[in-house]
Amino acid sequence: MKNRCKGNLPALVFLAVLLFAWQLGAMKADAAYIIPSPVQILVRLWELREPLFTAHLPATMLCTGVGLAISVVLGVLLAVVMDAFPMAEKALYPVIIASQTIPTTALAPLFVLWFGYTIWSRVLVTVLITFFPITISVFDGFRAVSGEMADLLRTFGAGKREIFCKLKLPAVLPYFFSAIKMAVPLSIIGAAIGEWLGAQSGLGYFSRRMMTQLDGPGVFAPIVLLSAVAMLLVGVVSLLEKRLLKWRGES
Amino acid sequence: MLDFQNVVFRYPGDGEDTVKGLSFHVGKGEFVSLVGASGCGKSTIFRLINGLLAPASGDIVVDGASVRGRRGYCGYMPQRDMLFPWRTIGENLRLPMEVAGGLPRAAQDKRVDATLAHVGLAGWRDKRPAELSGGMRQRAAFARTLLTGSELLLLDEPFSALDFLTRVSMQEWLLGQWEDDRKTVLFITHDVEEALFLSGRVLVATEWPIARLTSIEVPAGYPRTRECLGRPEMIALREQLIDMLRKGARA
Repeated sequence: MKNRCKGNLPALVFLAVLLFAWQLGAMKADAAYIIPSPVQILVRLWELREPLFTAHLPATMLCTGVGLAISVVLGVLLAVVMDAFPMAEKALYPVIIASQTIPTTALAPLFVLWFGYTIWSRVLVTVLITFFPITISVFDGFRAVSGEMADLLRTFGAGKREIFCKLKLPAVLPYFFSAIKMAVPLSIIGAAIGEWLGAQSGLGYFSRRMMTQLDGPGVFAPIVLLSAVAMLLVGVVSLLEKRLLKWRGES
Repeated sequence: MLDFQNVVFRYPGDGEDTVKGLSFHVGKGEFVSLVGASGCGKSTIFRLINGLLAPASGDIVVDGASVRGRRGYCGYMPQRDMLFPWRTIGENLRLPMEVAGGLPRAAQDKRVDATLAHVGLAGWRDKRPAELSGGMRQRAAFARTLLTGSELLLLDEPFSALDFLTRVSMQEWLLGQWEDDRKTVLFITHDVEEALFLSGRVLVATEWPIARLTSIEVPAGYPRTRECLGRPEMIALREQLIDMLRKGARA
């Protein structure tokens, strides 16, 4: 633990310098509606704690949770199907890659037309942003599985199902966790973007409302909260990863 | 024990057969080495025996029955240990029994413990492969091969990745194991000295495609020590083998 703190020290120092420079710059500019200082943002966060934590954070988390869950299921499913059927890989892989060139944010207003101001328009934005890295990482994980290990299992008499359960599934877990660590922040961003474009609650919606009121610190406060939640969740996933993949640390 | 009957095999996309009408016989309880220059198709012969490849024509007979559609008739040990890093040594050893099925968990554990003691790894059951040295990992891989329960063992250059001293002690160890169990062993190597030290008979692949193997008896009995390699007839045979391989490689 002590070593980890030491390892992070340069990053922490750099961050402190950055924040300090921001604070100085903001104080010099003295226009909170354009560039609020970090201290002003923290104060505003405290003042707004009631609506932020009781109404908007839960709304965003619900959208993030539903979107992430759908993305994980969809992403893993696509990877498994592409791994099992070469035809599916040929059909799906290029299309999935190409789909990422579509600027989802630009399409999001359409989703509001389709689903109205329900959670589903925001969930759709979240899923479209999030499922991709999961599919690609997990699929790459499947492709990296040792063919020699699969051959060895075949000489024991293993069929496709046993090779999947005993070799592919455990071998792909590290890739799965990397994917989740990428997907968690993306899903939060997706939810926030969705809320920006059309919602009646949520941190993204709240930030936008503060913008219309030229409340600079109020725009930043929910964003700081979003980042903090994303970091916390990634930390939890990392912890889970360490627990479940103990064998990786031993070599 | 093992009979090749006029076996023909060609890799898809190749213009020529790799194995062209090959016939040879290995008797029960024999230790036979298969030597040949790299890339001459030794490993192809192994993959034909263990069913990873199927001959275009001819037949491979183990214990009086064709290997087509059979499973569990041979234990295959690949060049690298291929221990699954997420499984403990004990769990790795259990793998062939898990795949074959039919044995209750307690009985599997009992056989794992007995085999670990047999190969000198008692007490290492709950360690992960990364915690073992190269030689120990090969011993664990050999134990896993034994636990396929087959009388025919195919060892594909199992010691080639080890350092010299470990290799020498592993050769002596393997010889001891074989003298205890008297299983039928087919051993691939490109190391002539290793072949002479271990085997009762050497099969030499001198031509490509492989249409025949030259069989040479090793003029030394068992139990055997390394000193026998210094005897004049062994030195002469070693030179003869090296000469044969050289001619084969040149062709």
